Amino acid sequence: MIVSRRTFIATGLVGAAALLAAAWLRGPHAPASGVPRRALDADGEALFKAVAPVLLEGALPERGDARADALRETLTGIDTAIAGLPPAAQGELRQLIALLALPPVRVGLARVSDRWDEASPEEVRRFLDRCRDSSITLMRAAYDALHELTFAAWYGNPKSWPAIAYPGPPAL
Amino acid sequence: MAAFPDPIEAGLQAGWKVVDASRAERDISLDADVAIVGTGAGGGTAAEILARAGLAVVLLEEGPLRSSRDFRMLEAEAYPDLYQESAARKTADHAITILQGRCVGGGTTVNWTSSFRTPTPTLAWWAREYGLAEFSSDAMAPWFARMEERLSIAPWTVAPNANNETLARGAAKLGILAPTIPRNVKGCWNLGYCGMGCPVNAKQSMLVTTIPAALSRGATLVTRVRADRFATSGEDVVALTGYALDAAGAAPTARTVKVRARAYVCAAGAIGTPALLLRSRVPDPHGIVGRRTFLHPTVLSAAIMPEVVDGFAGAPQSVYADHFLETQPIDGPIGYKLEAPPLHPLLTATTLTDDGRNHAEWMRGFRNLQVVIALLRDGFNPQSPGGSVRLRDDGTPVLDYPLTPFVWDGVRRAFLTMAEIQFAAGATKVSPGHGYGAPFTSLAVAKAAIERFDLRPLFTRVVSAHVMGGAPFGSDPARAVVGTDGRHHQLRNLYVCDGSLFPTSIGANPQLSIYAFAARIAGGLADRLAARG
Repeated sequence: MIVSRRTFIATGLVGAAALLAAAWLRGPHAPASGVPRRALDADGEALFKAVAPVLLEGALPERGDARADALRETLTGIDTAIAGLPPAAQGELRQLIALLALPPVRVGLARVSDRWDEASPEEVRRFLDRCRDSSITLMRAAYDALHELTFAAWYGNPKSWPAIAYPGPPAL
Repeated sequence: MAAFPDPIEAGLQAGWKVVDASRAERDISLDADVAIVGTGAGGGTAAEILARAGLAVVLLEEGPLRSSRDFRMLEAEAYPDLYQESAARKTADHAITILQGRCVGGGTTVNWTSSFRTPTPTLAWWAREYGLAEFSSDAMAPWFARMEERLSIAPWTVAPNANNETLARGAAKLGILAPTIPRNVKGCWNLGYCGMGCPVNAKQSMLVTTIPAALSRGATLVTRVRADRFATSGEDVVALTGYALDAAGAAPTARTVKVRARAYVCAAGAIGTPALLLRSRVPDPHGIVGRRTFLHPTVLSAAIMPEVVDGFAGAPQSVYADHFLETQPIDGPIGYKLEAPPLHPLLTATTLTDDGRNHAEWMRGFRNLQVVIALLRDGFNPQSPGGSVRLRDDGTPVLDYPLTPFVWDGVRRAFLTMAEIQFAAGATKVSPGHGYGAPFTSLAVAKAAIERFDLRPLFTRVVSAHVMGGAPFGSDPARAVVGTDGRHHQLRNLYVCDGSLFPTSIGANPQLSIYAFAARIAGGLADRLAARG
């Protein structure tokens, strides 16, 4: 993955260095889910699987098949949304995801030393809070990307609507 | 099955010349009198006027051709299909989300129908600061009137929905005027889904008005093509080349599109047009292209009302308040226009700050949710220079828009105003779009907190639906890319005809401003081409 000159300028030296490191130092890939994906790689899949239930706490069905289905469809929605972005935006997202998958970032930010697929909800919660409160714009942008993709995937899904009493579009 | 007259389907059956470049099996080459890049408010308006003048017009559009039967009022379908970057386009540091249309009709297909004439103070400022005296309110009035008639623009006579009514009620309690917004609709069903494409063809967008008129007069429309660059020779553009995009509109295919024309019109919007000029390396001796790009940076305040609001239903924008534009100097601290937005689940959920249980609680109050937005009028003060459009290494544009202390000062005042209005209207809790969105249950507490907010990028939610500037008009080539007739100062057959023309932001939703100036420019171009024969 190549960091473009513009990204370098836009994010500043520290940010760009972190992104470069993220692209170069990626640890061993998490196991693939077995679900065919259009855009998400194994790192991205593991990351969203960890953060989506925490971001959507209180919004998703609490348990059982309904919860599993909702999470699965949210992951699919995230993948579809990323695949629909232009190549440059997809590239930026991949960089942010790779950054968050870096052990130094996980450990440094939130003491999440396990891989994403082994992190506890409490660890993920702490990680998200640190990202959101970070003084580094790039970390806040990463949080924002997770927030936007996850909430778009769930609330674009009609299954989310009964809980908020949204009746859906009117019949014509 | 189409339950309503579908002008697109009817036109295609009648033999309109429409080419979907994503399905092209060979390169496309076209000749025309005028090539127009973009089919939004600028390109659509120009297309009709030029085609009616008997000129051969080719329209290039990056997005798809859709029609009422495709508009199923579903956010998950509409945003990826009809908007730039799935309605999630970002500024360079990701701090501002930009809503821009990308489909035939451009922003007009998906906007919320608010139709304001360019405010008189804005035109007066342009006359004073930019030498644009020929665009006085009186001089422009016939152009506004012409486009108002063409697009059925009139003040909305139906009662506002509860989301807008709450804004009006709160404003009235504070002694602030909240007049009715003129809308470009005919036979509107008051559904509330304008942002996903009008399913009943009531919105008088370019998609159902000027573009069908141009196509019926023989214009050619090429969709799913991204205009890449102009080729020039001396003082003339001699060709425009572009490339086809895949069916999803995400990535280029191997197919190219080439148009040779007598004149070329840039109407790709205030990010696309400067980007096209930059890629083409057209003369820019003063380094103006893509500079001074404005957004009306917009912040929001969410409230829970005791009564049901249902902000997803009914005309999305029907009242506004200009008190905080009109009661202070235009070049003083940044002023703001107050409006209400439509509230649908996806855009609401992504725009609300915070996450987890707090976010879920706000969403559970969805039917009682009320939102006010403040659109900041940028570009009228030396401390408000706007942003710059630049090219990424792959040639696609990105807007760098720094959020400065000057802007944040306006954001803070806007948060205070919006909270005051919402509490005055009876809100039980109010949450400015900032940080954790901690809900405040009284104005006093809200005020104290807002005064202390640490406003900063990506912690305070900032959005924009109005991109303006970057290729301004004016008679001084040191300060303007094109003349007041829209013609490029260095290239004699190249025109700009969209929101890029504006030397500042408009201070109101810009569609009618774009229509009026586009009509004026296109009329002049038609006369010039006819005279040359």
